[in-house]
Amino acid sequence: MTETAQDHRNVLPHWWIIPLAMAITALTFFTTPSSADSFPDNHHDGLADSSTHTYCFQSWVSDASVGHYAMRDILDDTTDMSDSYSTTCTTSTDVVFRDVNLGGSLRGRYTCMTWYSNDRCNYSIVELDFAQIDIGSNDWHDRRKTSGHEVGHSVGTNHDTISMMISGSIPDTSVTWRRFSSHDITHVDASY
Amino acid sequence: MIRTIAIAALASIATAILAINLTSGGASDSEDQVAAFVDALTHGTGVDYEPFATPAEARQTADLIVSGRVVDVVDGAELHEIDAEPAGIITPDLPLDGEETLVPLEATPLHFIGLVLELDEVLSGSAEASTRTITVQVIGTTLTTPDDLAELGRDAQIIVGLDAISTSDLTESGLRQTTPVDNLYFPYTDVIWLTSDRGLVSLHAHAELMPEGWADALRSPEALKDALRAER
Repeated sequence: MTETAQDHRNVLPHWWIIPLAMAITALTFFTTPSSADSFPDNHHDGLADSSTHTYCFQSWVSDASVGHYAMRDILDDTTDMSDSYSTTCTTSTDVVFRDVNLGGSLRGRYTCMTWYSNDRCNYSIVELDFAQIDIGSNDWHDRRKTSGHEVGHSVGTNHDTISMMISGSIPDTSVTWRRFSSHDITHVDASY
Repeated sequence: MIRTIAIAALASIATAILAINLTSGGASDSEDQVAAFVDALTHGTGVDYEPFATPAEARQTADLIVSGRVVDVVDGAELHEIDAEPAGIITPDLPLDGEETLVPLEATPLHFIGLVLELDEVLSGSAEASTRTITVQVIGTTLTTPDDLAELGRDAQIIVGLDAISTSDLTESGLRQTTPVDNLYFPYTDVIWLTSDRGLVSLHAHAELMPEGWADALRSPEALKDALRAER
């Protein structure tokens, strides 16, 4: 029997499909940002317990305006979430702001104190170290950036380099550094 | 045609398996345990911090930089504001008469988790020759107990730059310590790295977001130690 070209095509039909399929699959894996579809992506799998984010100030907060800014001008005005301020702090208040010395190079920290469930925080504290934040220039903007940054952690966002979730002092006074990224807004709006 | 589709599908599956393995770094059990430890420790916490531009800057600022391993996880320091006034925090645990109870603000101190480290090397700074064990205060979860964290974190290799806080430092900051920790060491957020088979993992810092000056140092634990080690 004599082999023909047609016989070879039957054994290895369209051999080029193999590298093509591998290339497409590899491109899919290696060009998709790993965090693009993960939320909460705040390294600690935490979300707020509802779309209404309540907040208050402990008695010694020296600059309450930064807390109001983070909750009203950032969270309420730029996402589907809403803020609710109370003069009284309770252990069901979503964010209790306070002003402390955190040590090291910490500017602010968010800690969930009690949990509604394993991934839903019932009551948290946001601590701001104004002395650390005020090192350098642009204090007004920097305080609001860090306040917004910690509120961002409380609703599920993590660090980046394109929004207020950047670490440390702001590069300039642009409003970019006092807002969520569009990526985070999409996820926040979808989650609450 | 069916054979063509089948071959394409098999090629895609094989490539996907390879890609998953590559992107996960071929995770081993020990790596998973370090990652699980970090996840458990940081669950429900987040920070903003001032990054160091380079390891040299960290070396110049930190009081002490060490490498070692985690030997235990314990309840850490609690710090109170000295002049704190009651804040009127109301607990949800209602007494039988249904009235809510006011709890003083001091009921919510700054709380830390203590990582007990056995030191391999003092990379920079001074530590007494007899100091082979130190406790590092880190911002920790309220969800997992120290004992459970210790189960996950014990024997993890760690490199950490520290801010040594004295009692007088605390007083000047308007804080007082309410737990008996002899030496208070707080880590710099971008200078605390644990070693896994995949590489270096941190609690709140992200290697991919670090300033360019850290790129070489974060290639491996040895490179990081070299970068942070003081010139002798």
